[in-house]
Amino acid sequence: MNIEQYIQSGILEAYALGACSTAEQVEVEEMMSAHPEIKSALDAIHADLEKLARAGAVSPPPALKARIMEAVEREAMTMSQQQTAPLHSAPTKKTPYSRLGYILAGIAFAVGALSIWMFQGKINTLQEQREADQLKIAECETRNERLLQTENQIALLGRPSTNPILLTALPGQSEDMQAWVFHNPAEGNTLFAPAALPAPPSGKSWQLWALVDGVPQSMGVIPDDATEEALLSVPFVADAQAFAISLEPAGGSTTPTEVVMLGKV
Amino acid sequence: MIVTQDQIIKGLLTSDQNTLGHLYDQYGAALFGVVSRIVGDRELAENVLQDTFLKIWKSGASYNPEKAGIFVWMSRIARNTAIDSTRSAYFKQRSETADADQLVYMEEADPFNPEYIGLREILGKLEDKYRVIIEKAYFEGYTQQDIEKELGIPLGTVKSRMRQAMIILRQHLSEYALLYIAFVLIFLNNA
Repeated sequence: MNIEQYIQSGILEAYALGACSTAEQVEVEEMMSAHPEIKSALDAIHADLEKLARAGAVSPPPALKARIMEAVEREAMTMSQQQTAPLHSAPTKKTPYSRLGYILAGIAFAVGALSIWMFQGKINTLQEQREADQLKIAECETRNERLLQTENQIALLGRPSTNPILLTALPGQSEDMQAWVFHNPAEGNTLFAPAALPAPPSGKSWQLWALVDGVPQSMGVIPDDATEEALLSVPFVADAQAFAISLEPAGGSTTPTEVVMLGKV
Repeated sequence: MIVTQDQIIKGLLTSDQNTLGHLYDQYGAALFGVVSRIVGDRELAENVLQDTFLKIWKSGASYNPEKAGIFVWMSRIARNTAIDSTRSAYFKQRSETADADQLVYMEEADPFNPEYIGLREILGKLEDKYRVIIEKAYFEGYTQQDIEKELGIPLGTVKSRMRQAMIILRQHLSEYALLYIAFVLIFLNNA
């Protein structure tokens, strides 16, 4: 559009006098920022209106300024109170956007809850499975350890340096009773096999001793549940000349009470 | 106190009360003249001016200096507030009971304001066909389309008359400006 024609059309005067529709206002403002000539023409009209207003100025009553400033002060206080008390501020608008947000959040929550519900059973099963597996692994490790120990013991039995000593019943004791001590001074290892050692009488325990220069040294109480096939590692006593088993009160004694079996190295 | 344009804009942005006081001192009388002309009632004009300055203070942050000068922006708020008040029930009741003296008083020169020439006097210099359009638009809030309907003249004519009216006003205003300078010079010489 021809700018000069636009200026002469009177639209700028209409704008300045506040007689434009909203669409026309937008148009004038766009033209104004695009064309400096239009801006200066409009500025001139605005200047005229300001002159007109100044020419028609009426001094307000002197008290009015104080009244207005008081009203502003009151407003400022109300606003600062509202700012310090945000709980009482205007309720937030429920825009479609935030409603959509709530809906999406609700769906997400439902999906999440359903997933947890569906997978919880599976998770529980897996957890139980895992605990059982861990127990089995621990058991296997224990067995493996025992197996290794047994293999070592068997290997020890087969070695030429191992001295098998048969402990037999002393006179007056049941002659069926027998037990083995496998003594290997070269490797510093001693094994005990209960073999034909009966279960001790109730409230009593069998105790194994090593005799060094006639002095008995305890090698420990034989467990009551030790089976005839068992092969137990026992403390190594270097200069043992004989091994003996005594019947003792449950838990054992520091010195033998009643020796029932003996075997010399 | 010299206050720069930047200081005023910053003051408006920060809701500074001193800036508002300064604007009142600078433009209060001009705005009071405009709102008085619109509402034609002294008490209501005072209330309108108070509401105007409250709005100016509250909406200061929205003032865009690139779009319009400070007076243009303020007078737009003042005119809108005044025109809105004339559409209220209170105003309609008041104007029915208001006596003619009060309205005349409103149009009288302010004896304490040496700048006062009078809107009536200036507008009176215009031919009726121009004056009525300025009054309808600027003091009664009519749009061009409202004037077109009210006066039964084509929109193009409304626009061209607005332009013509403003050109004539410009000439009168510069005459008055010369008169005003002469007046001030005489006043200063006599003082």
